[in-house]
Amino acid sequence: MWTSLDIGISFSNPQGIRSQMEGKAANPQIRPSSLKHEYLDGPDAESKNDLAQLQKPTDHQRFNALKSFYKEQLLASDTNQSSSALDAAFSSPSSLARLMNLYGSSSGALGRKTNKKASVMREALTQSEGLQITSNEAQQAPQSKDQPFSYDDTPTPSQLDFQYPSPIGNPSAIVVSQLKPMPTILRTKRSKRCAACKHILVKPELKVTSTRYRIKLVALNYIPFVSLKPVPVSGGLLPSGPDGDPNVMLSAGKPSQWILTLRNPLFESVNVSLGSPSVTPGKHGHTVTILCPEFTIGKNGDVWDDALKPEMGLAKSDTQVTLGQGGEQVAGKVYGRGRNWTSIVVEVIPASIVKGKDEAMEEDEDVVEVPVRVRLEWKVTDEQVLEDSRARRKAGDVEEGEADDGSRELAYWMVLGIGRVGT
Amino acid sequence: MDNRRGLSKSENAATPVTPPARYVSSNLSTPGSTFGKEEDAVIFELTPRYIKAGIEGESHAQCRVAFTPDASRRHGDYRTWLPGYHRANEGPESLWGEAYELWRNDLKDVDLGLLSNKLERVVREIYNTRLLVDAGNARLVLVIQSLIPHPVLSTVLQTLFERWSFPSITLLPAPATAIVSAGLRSGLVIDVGWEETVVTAVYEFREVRCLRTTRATKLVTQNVAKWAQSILDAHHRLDLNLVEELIRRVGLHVLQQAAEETSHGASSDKDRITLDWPTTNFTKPISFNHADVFRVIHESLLDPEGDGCHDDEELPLHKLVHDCLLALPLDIRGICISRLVFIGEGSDMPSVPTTILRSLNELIKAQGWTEVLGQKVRKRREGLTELAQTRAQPVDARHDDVMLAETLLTEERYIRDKMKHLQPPIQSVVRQVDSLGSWAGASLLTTLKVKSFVEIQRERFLSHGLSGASRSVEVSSVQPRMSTLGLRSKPAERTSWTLSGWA
Repeated sequence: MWTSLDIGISFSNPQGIRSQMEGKAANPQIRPSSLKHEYLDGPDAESKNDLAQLQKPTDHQRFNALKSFYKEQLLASDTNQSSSALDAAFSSPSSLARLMNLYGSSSGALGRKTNKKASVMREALTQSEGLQITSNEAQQAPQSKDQPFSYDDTPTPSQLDFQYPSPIGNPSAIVVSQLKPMPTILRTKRSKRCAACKHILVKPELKVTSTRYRIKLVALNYIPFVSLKPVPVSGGLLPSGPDGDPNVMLSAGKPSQWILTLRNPLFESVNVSLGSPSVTPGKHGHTVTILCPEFTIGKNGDVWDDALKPEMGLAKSDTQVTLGQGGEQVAGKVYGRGRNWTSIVVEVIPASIVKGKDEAMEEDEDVVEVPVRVRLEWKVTDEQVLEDSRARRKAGDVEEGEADDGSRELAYWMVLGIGRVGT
Repeated sequence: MDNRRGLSKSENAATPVTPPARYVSSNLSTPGSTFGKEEDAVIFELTPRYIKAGIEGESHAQCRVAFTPDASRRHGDYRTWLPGYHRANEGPESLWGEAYELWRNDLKDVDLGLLSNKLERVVREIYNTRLLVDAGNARLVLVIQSLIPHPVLSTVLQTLFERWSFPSITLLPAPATAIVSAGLRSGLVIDVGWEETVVTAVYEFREVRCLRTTRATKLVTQNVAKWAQSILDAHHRLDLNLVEELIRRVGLHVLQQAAEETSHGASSDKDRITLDWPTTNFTKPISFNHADVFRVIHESLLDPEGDGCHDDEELPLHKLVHDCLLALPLDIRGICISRLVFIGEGSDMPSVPTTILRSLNELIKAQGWTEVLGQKVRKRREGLTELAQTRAQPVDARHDDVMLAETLLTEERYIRDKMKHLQPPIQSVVRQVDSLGSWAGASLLTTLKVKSFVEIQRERFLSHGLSGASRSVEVSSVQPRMSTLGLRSKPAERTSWTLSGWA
């Protein structure tokens, strides 16, 4: 069994592994303050090199050293400037002093001015302040003599990318053994609001172990469910399975008809208008014709409606499909209609893809996809109108003088994936 | 020290100007503005290849997400994990790496809408999986290159402002933040980036000069890929990820030694690497000498065999550094040359900094600091030097006399006393200083509450876009003390905003 001792990490207790790892990462093996004094008396090259080889501070330590150094410097320049800063901000009697400062300073007699100049911020000078001179020795240090070169020992870029967040990990590892074990990324439960109206769309239960939702408004409960299958003609394309076939092959230049069915989840009948560019955008323009772009889909009912009214359900919902009579593939007429669904015909003529001999097909270049703009219009019942207006008043965004006549509309884009162009 | 003396002198010139800055220290501002604890700012470092994200005050970013073709797949598209899947072969042609970059400098073929969608997706994912804070509550600090196409910048800001409710977005230039995280105030930042290598001279946190070349990581990967193609069969596939991995992994180990061995032409058995290069249908290990990889890298960056006649856009790196230094004023050059800072993804390529420095040293030795070269010039100059040497001493002395005779004397003495305990800044030696990187620099600056010149307020941007920025350059000179990491001025006081260096 693997233990962390194999890679030389031991934990003092079994809880809070991540914070323990963080502590180890930030562990200052040399205290920056102890370095300071040895350093200040002179940066002669020898002692510098000795120290650099002795201990190269980690990036984290350097960062902290730099931070404290800059803070110190800011503080120093701050106190020196504070007097004039006050003057500038509150130009009361002290504005005289400011003027003096301005015009009198060229004489250099004012102590304050000189004082200020003397404390211009300086750069970091020593390692304890975060300076790190790159020397050739330091660069070669990781490669010790007895370590043979092995390509397999070096970490891959994806391994290094996994070493973030970095105080725990080591994205500048040179050999695989320098990589650190990383914690799993935490998952969060998120609630989502609508960007436009601030309605909560999804809200998970607060309990950590529960995966259920308190509020879950899914788009498919409001917009029509779309399915697409080939028109059953003899010798045509076979209808695919329920999940769709990823490899539907279309022959280039040959028109193919598709039945587009929209199933209404709403309890009101909806007017639908579809729009699509006659030639699809992208590298290869395929010609698309929606034969009947405007139609109505009937309202959804309870599941029990069909069962309770068997004569209605059987006669009028699913069986009323007229097939292959030619009349349905005429522009402006729907192909078939049921209680809460309507089918229309879409005709696609795929463009042929011509490639030079050396040119390879790009990934998914041969896929035929049709963007369709869907616009829905429907009228809600009076009760729904009341309920909606109540909700809106509660949310506080009701605009007076705007009578709600119950008409609703919705528009969005969808993409129909049809198949691939055969060669 | 000369430069400082020069500065103070010009400040003291008796022309009455408006006071340099109106500081209101934060503890004196109205309590309303500081009421409630401000949330820690979120810092993004955005480059064409990757985005680094994290929270201010931390020494490292929380994550680094590269832009890859896999990231632009639809949700639920798991085909990369299917057996038998292999990506189409990518050749080192002109479109090399297009799917791996968010934008390129040539905006002709860049789809800004796609850029916006990609960015939106990656930022949303970073917030949801890595940062785990509410997006848009805290202000955002964006570290970007100092040269970024305006349409890209505009699209990035537009996307961030429209999708989330960031109150403001602060822009910080990457070179200056790299200087901050090196603990310096001035220096020469050599950013070996993806499409371009940018050499920026920074003096007192201000970008003084900036030169660019196309010799950067993209060219290196292209050349390595070409080299790899020459040793590979047709079965082997090649894509940017593989090439980058190869460069990185070969480089992680072999440093100085290998480079020296190439120059001697020696290649022994232990230098050979045997690789199980991924193929489409069979396994055959590929063996090559790693010195070849080095050679290709160095040739693409430094062009040692070149005839010295380069276009402006493709100068070798050491030449570019030299040119940049040459164009600087003398005192700034002296400061910058001993503060060379390497950043960018190319700077961790094998021995790149060392080789650049070595070539730079040779160049300085050979050419010195003259812009004009040639035999005739040299002959003429020799005569001039002699002339100058005979005169040099008295001229300088006279200048010194003038200086001391001024009333500045007391001040000078005072400063000298003050500075006695400080070492003079190291000058005029080629020296490389290690930086923690731009992200860490931005993190430092943000925790220290240093204000950036460019802070873009939400409403202002959304109503006018980038064109709402005031064009006046004065804004940057109104706050000269910014360069001393001065106090934070109150955001409410700002009536106009500027793009400063990005304009």
